[in-house]
Amino acid sequence: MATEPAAPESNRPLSGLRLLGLAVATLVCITAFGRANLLEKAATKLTGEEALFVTPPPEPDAWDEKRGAELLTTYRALPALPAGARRIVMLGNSQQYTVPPPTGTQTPHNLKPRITSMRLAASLEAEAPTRLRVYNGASDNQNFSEALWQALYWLEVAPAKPTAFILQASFDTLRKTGIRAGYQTLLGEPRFRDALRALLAKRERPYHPDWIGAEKQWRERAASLAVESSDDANEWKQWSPEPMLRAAMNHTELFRRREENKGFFLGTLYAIRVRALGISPRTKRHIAGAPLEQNLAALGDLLALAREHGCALVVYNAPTNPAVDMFYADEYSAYLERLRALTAAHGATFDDLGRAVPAEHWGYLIDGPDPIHFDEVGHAIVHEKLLGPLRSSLGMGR
Amino acid sequence: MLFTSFTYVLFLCVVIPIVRRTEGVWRERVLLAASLVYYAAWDVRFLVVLLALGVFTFAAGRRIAAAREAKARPRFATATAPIAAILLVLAAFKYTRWLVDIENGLFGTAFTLPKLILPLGISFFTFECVSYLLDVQKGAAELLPLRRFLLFPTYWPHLVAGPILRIKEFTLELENLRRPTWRETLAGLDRVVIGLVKKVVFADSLAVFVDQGFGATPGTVGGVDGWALTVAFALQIFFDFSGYSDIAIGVSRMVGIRMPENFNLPYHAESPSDFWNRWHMTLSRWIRDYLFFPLNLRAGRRVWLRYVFLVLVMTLVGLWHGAGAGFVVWGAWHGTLMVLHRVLQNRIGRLDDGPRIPLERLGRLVSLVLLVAGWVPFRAPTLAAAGAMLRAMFTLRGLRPAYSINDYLLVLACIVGYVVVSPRVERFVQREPQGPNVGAVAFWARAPLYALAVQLLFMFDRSNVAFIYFQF
Repeated sequence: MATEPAAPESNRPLSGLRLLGLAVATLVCITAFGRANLLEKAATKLTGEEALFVTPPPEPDAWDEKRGAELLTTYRALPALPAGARRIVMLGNSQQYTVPPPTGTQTPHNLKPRITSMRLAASLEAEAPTRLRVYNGASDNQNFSEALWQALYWLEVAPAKPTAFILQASFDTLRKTGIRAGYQTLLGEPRFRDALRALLAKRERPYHPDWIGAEKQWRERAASLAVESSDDANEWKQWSPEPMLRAAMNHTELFRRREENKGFFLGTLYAIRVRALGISPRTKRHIAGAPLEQNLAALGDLLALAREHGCALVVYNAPTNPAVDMFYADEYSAYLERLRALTAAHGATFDDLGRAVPAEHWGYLIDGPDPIHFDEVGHAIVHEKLLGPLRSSLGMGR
Repeated sequence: MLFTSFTYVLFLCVVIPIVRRTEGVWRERVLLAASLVYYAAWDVRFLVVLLALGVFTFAAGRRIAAAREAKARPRFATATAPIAAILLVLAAFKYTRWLVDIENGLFGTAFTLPKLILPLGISFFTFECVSYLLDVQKGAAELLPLRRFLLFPTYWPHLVAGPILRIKEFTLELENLRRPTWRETLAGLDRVVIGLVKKVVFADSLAVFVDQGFGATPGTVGGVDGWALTVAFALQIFFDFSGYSDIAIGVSRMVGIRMPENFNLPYHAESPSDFWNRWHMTLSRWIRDYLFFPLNLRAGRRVWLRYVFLVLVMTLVGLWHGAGAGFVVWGAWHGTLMVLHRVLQNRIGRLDDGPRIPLERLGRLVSLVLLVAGWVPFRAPTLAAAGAMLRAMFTLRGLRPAYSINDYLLVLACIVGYVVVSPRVERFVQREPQGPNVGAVAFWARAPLYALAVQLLFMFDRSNVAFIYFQF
C-alpha cells in the first residue's frame, strides 16, 4: 500500500502549544528590544552627536512641552505677584536648543547656555526687584499661533494681566503651525475655553482650523485619560476602562518610554535624511503660503489683543546665522516688511536683530553650522541689544 | 472602543477564548452578546437604534416572506414601505441637519434642530438591513431565527465600518461555523497586526500633514502643496480604511468567520470603473447589485440613460459617505469619470494596437491623476476650499513648497510603501486560504516582526484617533 506523502512543513497543522511558544518568543523579543536600546544606539551612531539627543535640564521658570510638563499646571502653580508688581511675559521661539561644538573638538558641550530670555528676566528683575516679574513662556519652535494661544490665557484668564509681552520672532518658526499637546492643556480651564470660543466666534481667521483641531484633539485625549473636558452638563458621559488600562501599561518599559523611543526613531530618520539625501537643517527652504499666512494672522491678532488690553508689545526679529543662507532673500525681506508694518499698525515696538550675532557664535549640527541656535556670547549680545528698547517700552529709566 | 485601543485588546482577550470554547447555538449567542457589548461600549444609546432596526427588519422580512409564500402581489405596505422606513431612519439621523442648514442658507430661515447623536456605523447596518429585505423579496435569502438574524447587522468586527456583508454569505459562514484552527487564528493575527500598523503608523502620521494643509485658508495653498496634500490624503484614507478592514477581517477570522475582502490595491486601477472593483469592494458590490443593475435594466438599450443612471448612482454613493456638498461632488465626479471612460473606451477599442496601446497607458495615468484629484472635494472643509485647491493644482499656481520637508518625505515614503510593500502584503494575506505558511523560519520570524510592530504601535500611539470611515 502506498503511503501518503508527508505534507510540506509549511502546510502542516499548527498546534496551540506552538502558537503559545510564538507569543512567548514575541514577549522575549519585545523585552530584548527594550533593553538593547537599538534605536538610541542607531540615532547616536548615525549622527555622531550624543548631545543632539540629550534633553537639557529644565530652565527655571520656563515651560517646554518636551519635558512633559503641562502648561496649565505650570500656570496655575505660578506664585502670586507682590502688591504693585508688574508681569512681563516672553513668548515665541526661545532658540534655547543645545549648542554642540563642531565634531571632534575638545570644548565641553554647552548644553545649557544662559539664553536671552533668562538674561532679560534677570536684568529687568534686578533693576526693579519688587516691581517686576518676568515669566518665560517661550519655548522651542513656538509658532505665533501658539504664542497667541498663550497670550489669550494671560489676558483673559490669568489673575494678573501682564504689562508687556516680548515676542521673539524667528522666521524659521513661521513654517510651523498647529497647537502642540502641552499648550492644549490650557483647555482644562473653563474660562480659557470660553475666551477661545469667543475669539473663534468673532470672525474667520486662517489659524482657526488649527485651534478647532487642537480642541478636538484635547477632548479626545482627555476622554482617553478620563480628564474632565466639557462644561456641558447635558453631554453624555460614559465610563471606559481605557484610562485604567493605559495607566497599567505605563508599568511596562516599552510603553512608558514610547515618546523617548519615538524621539530616537525620528532622530535616526533625521540622520538618514541628512546623510543619505543631503537634506540638512541648513537646506534652503521656502517659507510661504498657508503656514506663513496663519502665523502672520495670529501675530496680527496677538498685537490687537495686547493693545485692546492695554498691554505693551515688543517684537524682535531673531538673529540668523550669517554663515548660512537658508532663506530665500525675497521671502525673508517680505516677511520683515510685514513684521514692521504689523507692529507699526498696532503701535508695538519692533527691533530687527537679524544680523546681531556674528558667525563664530553659532553652534554646529551634524553636518555643519547650526542655522538657528547660537552660544552664550550670542545670547549676551542679543540681551544687550534688547535691553534698551525694552526699558523705554516699559517706561524704565536707566 | 476603537480597534486601536487597549480596551479592544482586552475585549478580544476575553471574547475570543470564550467563542473558541463554545459550540453551535451557544457560539452564536456569545457572538451576539459580545457584539451588543461592543456597540454599547461606544454609547449605550446607540444600541436602542441598532436593536430597533434589527427587530423591525426581522419582522418586515417575515411579512415579505409570508406574502411571497402566499404568492400575493407585492404590496407597497409589505414590500416597499419597510425599506423606505429604514432609509428614512438613516436620512433622519444623517441628513436632516444638513438639509436644514441648506434650507436656512437658501431662505434665510433660522430653523434649529435638537442635538441628534449619529449612531456609529448607521450607514453600514442600514444598508445591510435593506439588502436583506430585497433578498427576501427576490427569494434569495432564507428566514432566520431572530438570534441568528440579529447577529447579521450587529456582528461586531464589521458593525461600524464594514465590510458590508450579504445575508447569504453570512448565513453560510454561520452554518459552517466551527472552532477555527490555530493556523486560521495565526492568519487572523497577522492580518490584525498589518491593519494596526497601516492605521497607527502610516494613516495617523499622514493625518497631521493632511489636517494642517486642508485646514488652511482657501487660496493660500499652492499647486505643489495641493498635490502633495491630495496624494497624502489619498494614501491616508487608503491606509486608514484598508487598515480597519484588515483588523475586522483578521479578528473575524480568529472567531471562525471569514469576511469578504474590501480592498485590492485601488491605486493600481486601470480605469475609474476598475477603481471601484478595488476600493471598498463590498460597498461597490452592494451598489452594483441593488441599485445599478436594476436601473440598468430599466434603461434598456438607451445608452444615454445608462450614463445618467451611472452618474446618479455614484452621486448617491457620495451622499452615502456623508451629509455634505463635497461628498456629493466627489460621487458625481466618479460617475462622470466612469461615463467618460466608457465613451473613450468604445472609441479607443476600435483602434489598431499601434495607437491603442499608448493611448490606454496614457488613459491609465490620467485616470490615476483624476481619481486622486477627486479626493479634494471629499476632504476639503467647503466646496470653495476644494475649488481653490483644485485651481491651484491644475494651474500649478504657487510652486513654492511651504510645509516642512519632513512632510513631503513622509508622503514620498508612503508612496514607496504603497507601490513596493502593499502588493507584497496583499499577496501574503491572500495567498493561502487555509492559513499562512508555518514552516519553521516563516513561523518563528514572526516573533521579532510582531515585537517590532508592537514597538512601532507604542511609539506612534496618539490614543483615540478615530478611523476616517467611522463617520460615514
